[in-house]
Amino acid sequence: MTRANLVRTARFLGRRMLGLLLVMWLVATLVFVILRLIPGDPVQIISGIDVVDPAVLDELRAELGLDEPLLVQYLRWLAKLATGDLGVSIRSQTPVTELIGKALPVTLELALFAFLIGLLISVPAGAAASRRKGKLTDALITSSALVGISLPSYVLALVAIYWFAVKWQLLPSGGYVSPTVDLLENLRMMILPAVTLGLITAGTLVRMLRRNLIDQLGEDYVRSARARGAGENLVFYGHVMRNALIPYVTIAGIEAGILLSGAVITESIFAIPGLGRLMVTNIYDRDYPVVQGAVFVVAGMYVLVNFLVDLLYSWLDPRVSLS
Amino acid sequence: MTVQQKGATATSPTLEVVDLHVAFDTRRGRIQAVNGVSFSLRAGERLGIVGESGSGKSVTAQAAVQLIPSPGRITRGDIRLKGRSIPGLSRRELQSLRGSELAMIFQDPMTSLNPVYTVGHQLTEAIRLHQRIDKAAARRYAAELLASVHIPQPESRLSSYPHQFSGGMRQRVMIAIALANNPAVLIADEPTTALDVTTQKQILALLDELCRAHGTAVVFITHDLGVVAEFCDRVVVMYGGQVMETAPTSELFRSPQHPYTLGLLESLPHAHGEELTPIPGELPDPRRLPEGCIFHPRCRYSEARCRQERPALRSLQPGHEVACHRAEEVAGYQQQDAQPSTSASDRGGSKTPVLEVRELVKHYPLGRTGAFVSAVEGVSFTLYRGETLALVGESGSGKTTTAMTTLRLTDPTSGEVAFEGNDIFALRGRALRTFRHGAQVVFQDPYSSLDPRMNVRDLISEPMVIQGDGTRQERDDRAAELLELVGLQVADGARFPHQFSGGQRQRIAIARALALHPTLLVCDEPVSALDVSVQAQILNLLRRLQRELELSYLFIAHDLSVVRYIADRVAVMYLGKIVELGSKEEIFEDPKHPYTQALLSASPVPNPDAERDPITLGGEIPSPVDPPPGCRFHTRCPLAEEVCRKQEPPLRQLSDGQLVACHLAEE
Repeated sequence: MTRANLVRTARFLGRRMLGLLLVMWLVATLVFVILRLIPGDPVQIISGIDVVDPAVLDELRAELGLDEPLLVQYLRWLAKLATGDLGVSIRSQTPVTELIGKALPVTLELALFAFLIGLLISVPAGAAASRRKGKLTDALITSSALVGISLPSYVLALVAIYWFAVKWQLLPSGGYVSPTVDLLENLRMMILPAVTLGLITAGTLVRMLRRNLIDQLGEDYVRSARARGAGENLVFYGHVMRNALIPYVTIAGIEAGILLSGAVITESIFAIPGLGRLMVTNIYDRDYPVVQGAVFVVAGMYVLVNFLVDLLYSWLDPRVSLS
Repeated sequence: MTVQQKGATATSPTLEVVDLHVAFDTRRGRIQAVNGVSFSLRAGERLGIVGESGSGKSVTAQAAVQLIPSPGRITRGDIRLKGRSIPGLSRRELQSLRGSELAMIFQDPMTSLNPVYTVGHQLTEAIRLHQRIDKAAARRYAAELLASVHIPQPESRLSSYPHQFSGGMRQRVMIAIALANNPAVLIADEPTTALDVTTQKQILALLDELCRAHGTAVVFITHDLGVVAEFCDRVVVMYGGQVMETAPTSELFRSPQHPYTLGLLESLPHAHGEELTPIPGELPDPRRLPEGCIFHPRCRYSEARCRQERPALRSLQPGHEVACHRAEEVAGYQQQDAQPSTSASDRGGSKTPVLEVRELVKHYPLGRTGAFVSAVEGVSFTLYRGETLALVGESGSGKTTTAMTTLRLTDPTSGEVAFEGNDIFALRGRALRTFRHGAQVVFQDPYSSLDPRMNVRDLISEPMVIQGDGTRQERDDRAAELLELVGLQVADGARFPHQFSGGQRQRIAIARALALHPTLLVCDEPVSALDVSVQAQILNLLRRLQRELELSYLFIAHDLSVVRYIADRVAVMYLGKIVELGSKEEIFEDPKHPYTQALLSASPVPNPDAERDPITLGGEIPSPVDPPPGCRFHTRCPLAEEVCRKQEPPLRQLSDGQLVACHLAEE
């Protein structure tokens, strides 16, 4: 990489970091506003309707800082965020950062496995389908992908549990052990939920990649490559694939974002203590600081994935310049 | 890398196509794209294959490299390269043949290179597919190849991506790739059609130089008779998948023996100003080809035998073959004498201005950078009632932007446009509606300018509906009248655009433009999407309508032969400025600006014996974002002096009335 390129890349990264901060500030503001938009008295809602003692309510209000002017509340929320403080859970009195710190690695692990499975299925399957367009292979792959897209995750999860956990007793039906405690057990527990999520992710990605590859195979540069004597494998892997991956990366990024924000249903079915489950439980419990913190972290994940997609994009496509 | 002659001996042909048949079996029936085509190519020879759309010329070329798009396949016949039958080769043998013995370049250089890999990557790939050399050596050879196609700084340009090259440069790269392994035969499928004329001239000169140096035989496929006349030794004329005529180039142009060839030559626009003689009718539907001679429905020589019996190729003279029952009579026919010409002065040529454009400027800002595209920079002209003023220039010259601004389809950065005396940018309400009645437009592409979901009557009535003119009945009557005016049937009103051919669609577009009784018609390349035989019909129609309705045309075109036929006056544009403006005779016979001279010299003439000026412009059209200081043309001008680099030449009037923007132009 030349010096000029390095400078340009550095400048690009700097600008994107500023952009990220701006987006996170907007997210923080949005989370703040949404909480204040809950109809009625948030303190009353958090406490439940059976609590009527104004003193108790005032105490909670003071504890949450809700007795102060809105601007002060807002600035305090931002100031705490800036120091990495997401508040304290109302129910458990544990810091929200600690709760998220426990749930996040679980979700990360699950998302990573599921995403890898999605990639490992979709790239070869998309390639095979596009190269045998209109043939039996293509029909089988395309229709399986359609099933993957249309099947709700809980159906797939329940079917998987029934056969693999209950009937054949090959794998545990749920739960979670940290890989630092028992790596093998951790992996055994991850297989079913990761495959369930991965298959669904693969469904969308296969169709996308197949379409891109078929479009690219019809491009003029493919004809030119064949005319200079390039064999079909060189045409496909040496020319078409990289072009087809450009739009694929965008969709894969969105899928990765969805997985990272926690698969609520899958985590619940397999009793996995990830971000999705943390959010759902605390919405039921009306533990707003936790919900607030989790939403903020999830939004951060999305922004980060998008940033990575942009980097990958400019690497794949020289027409997209980093500046 | 030594240059070796790969051609076979003089007696045996290098490439031989024998009774080739290619069919596409589709759900809606079989398309016989190539129907018994035979020709041969000797070592080092240049054979032109000419035809209009659907003639099967490209499919024939694709068959030679076995790259016919699905579901097309060869159903009969053979293609032999130095005696080896190509359709019989295995996939591996084919791959080693393609790009080494037999290379091909295609029409669109913008899409023929893979956008995500560098030019060097694609060049070295082509080299290493056929030569056992290491990467470093291949890269050195690739740089040599880039140098041989005259790309400056070849070493560093290897690392550039295709999007960093202009269209002409990309076609140079494609040529470098094609010739990398010194093929015996190069097949060039419309290699210059997507390029501007001055770039076309450069590319033709380059092909000529390299093929001559390496003894490469060329099959040159094109629709452009002018390019054939300049480049080819021999010509095959194709129509509806069959060969109509084959002859040495000069003989074909001098004494055609097939009525189709004759018709093609006669339908070319010419300078004399008389009516063109188009081939009547439309190109045949490939699914329902006529019985007997495929050309008989459009042929003025057609007789009973032609409707029943397909004529075989036969020779009246050695080396000249023709597929026509009545070729003897055609050969004896002398091309018609020119009919009395109607020059501009005969056609009224009143001095009532319809459109007055003064110092028009149009900039397109580039983001918030402060930079801008200087699309039009101080253009002034006047268009009078009943005349045709042509705006001529290559891509990026600003001709279309100028025209669209005069229609108020976009607002100018500065300058004035007056239509019938009124400033069009000040018009509001009723006055603006009157302007919209008075000024209408016909676009280039009749396939995309007509809404496919509307029937023809509604399409033609739409301007009246928008303007609230007349009752439903009155509008339908007007639509019927317009259909007849442009040479269609009233019953066609109920049909939809997809049921018409390109030429008929352009007639519909013209009828729509005339619906509101305009006085000004802006024609933006109205015939450049049409085949030659149909183009003549539309040009004749435009001329007749101008005469009958006293229309003024602002006619945008890049094809100088079309301009020479239709225009009264011509404005030549370069990089957003008018460099020369004068009567048709002045511009074509006595051009004063070096750019006009170069443009005329680059424009191919369908006459192989024509004397040509040897002016070839070097370089590329500069970017309108950063136009050269002084005279905008100085970077490419063969005459440029110090003053041209510093001072911008004003558009000044010479004593004979011609306007020219050049410091050096003499009276």
